[in-house]
Amino acid sequence: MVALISLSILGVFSMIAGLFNVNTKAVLTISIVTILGVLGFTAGFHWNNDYSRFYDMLNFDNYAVAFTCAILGSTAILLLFSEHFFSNIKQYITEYYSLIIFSVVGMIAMVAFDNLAMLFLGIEIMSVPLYILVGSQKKNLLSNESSLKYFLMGAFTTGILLMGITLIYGETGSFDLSTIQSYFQENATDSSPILLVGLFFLLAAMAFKVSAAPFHFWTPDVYQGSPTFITAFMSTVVKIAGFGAFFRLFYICFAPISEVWTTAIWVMAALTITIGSITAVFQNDIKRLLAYSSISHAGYMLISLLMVKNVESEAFGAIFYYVISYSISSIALFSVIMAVQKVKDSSSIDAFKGLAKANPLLGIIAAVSIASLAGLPPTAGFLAKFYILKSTVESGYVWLALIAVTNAIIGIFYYFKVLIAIYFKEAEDQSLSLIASSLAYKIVAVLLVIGILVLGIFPDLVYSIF
Amino acid sequence: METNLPVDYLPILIQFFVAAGFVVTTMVLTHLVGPKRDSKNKLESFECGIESVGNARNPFSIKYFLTAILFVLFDVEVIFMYPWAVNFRELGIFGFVEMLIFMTFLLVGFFYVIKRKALDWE
Repeated sequence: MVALISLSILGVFSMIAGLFNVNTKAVLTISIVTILGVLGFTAGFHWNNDYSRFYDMLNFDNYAVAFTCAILGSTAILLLFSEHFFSNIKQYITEYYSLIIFSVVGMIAMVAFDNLAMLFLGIEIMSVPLYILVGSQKKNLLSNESSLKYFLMGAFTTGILLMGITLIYGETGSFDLSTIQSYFQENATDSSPILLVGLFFLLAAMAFKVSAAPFHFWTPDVYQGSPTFITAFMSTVVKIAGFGAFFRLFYICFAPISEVWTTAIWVMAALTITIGSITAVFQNDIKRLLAYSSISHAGYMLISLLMVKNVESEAFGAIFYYVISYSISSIALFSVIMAVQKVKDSSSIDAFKGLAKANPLLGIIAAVSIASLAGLPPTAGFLAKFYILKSTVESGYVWLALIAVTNAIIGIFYYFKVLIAIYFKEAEDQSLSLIASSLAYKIVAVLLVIGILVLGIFPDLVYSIF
Repeated sequence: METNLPVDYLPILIQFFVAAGFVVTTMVLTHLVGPKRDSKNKLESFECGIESVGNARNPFSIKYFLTAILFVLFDVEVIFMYPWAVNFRELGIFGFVEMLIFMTFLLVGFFYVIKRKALDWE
């Protein structure tokens, strides 16, 4: 609640600050400090202190608080890494900040909703700034194309989401999650076709937002076309929010009729992982590669929806740990990409040749984050996959676990293609040694690398907070 | 709702057929019964009495588009005033404060648009 209000005011502030030519560094500092302050307040005040507001439309329970903190933390880290990206931009820098902050406001509503109307509102508030941010390079054709694609498909999916909410309302007579849940508990055996159609409309819309197959087709084009900073934002923070909402909706609200949708999730997860990792093998553009890798990671996170029969805190822990480890590893890798793109205009894997020799720090960041994304010990990514697969097998989905493991091995192949370019190839020119990073960037990057390793060694810091 | 049988939706079906039937019947009837006087003046598109000039599909300045979009935006936001006006007494001071906050944000947006010179024509 405090989070929503103070972030909205912060967004308006940075929007207005741009009009009066306030120093952008100052606006950035104020934004980061405010976001971290809100994070601290949310974690300190709302943890173990359920808090319903707006006639039960939002409920800040522990689950919502954890996801809110993950969203705010990732946003703050991303903004700390933004220097390389914004050094090439002359105009409207504060508008970027304000749009990102408005988007974060929507995400908080998405992970804390207790009412389907609030879910819809949250998704819209998150998406509309994203459409603008994706197309923010006005003179770039790819950016324009991806913005239009994302907007048209996103608007269409919103329609499907609304239709699903309407059908569910028509059958249960309520938007309220707990009322819908108790309706399902009473009528678990004879669910009407209208209800099922509504449920699968919601499933399709949420799968679009987290780019799960077969609703993933927009992802590679949009991720490649948008500015790198926005790609990083979309593939980490937006994904956390998407899964926060997805999990809250299906795992909590639709749990009583889980037999109906677990098969669909099974197929979607298997498809998503396979399509993501096999297509990624053939990519030569690192942003496109990471788009496909994010699709396959979405598949692993989808698996965690199948743990309905497990202990609740264990399932929460598994998804939350995965989300955190994926997010920090991706942000670390994207920070390297942004640094390289500052001196090179291309995002192909060839541009990264010889990076480790020219700039050892960036080489180490890239190595650790890639190892974590590929799922190698002792990084956080390894245990994240381990916990998901463990509960998959425990829940009896052995085949799905096998598919996931096979694709994790394929994943190592394409991630190492990047790593080989960074470490074992000779640079084509000297431009990579021109990358100069500020002290703040170096400190945050080193802290992030340490964080990935610490999470991998002491998983209970995140895994057993619920 | 006590029962949930397909037959309950029969009134909707009947209404659908009546609506579709009305459209089809009137269209067919006017074509059959109505007088036909095909002349150049009759077939030309009506432009408020002014003779039409050229093709409508010309490229035109993006500024029209911007103004139109901004008009729609503020127009739709003002629609929120109507429910408030209807429930003005019931909502009391709470509603008034909420509306003030809403209007403040609206005016901040308007202020931004003007300062960014989105409405400047030159």
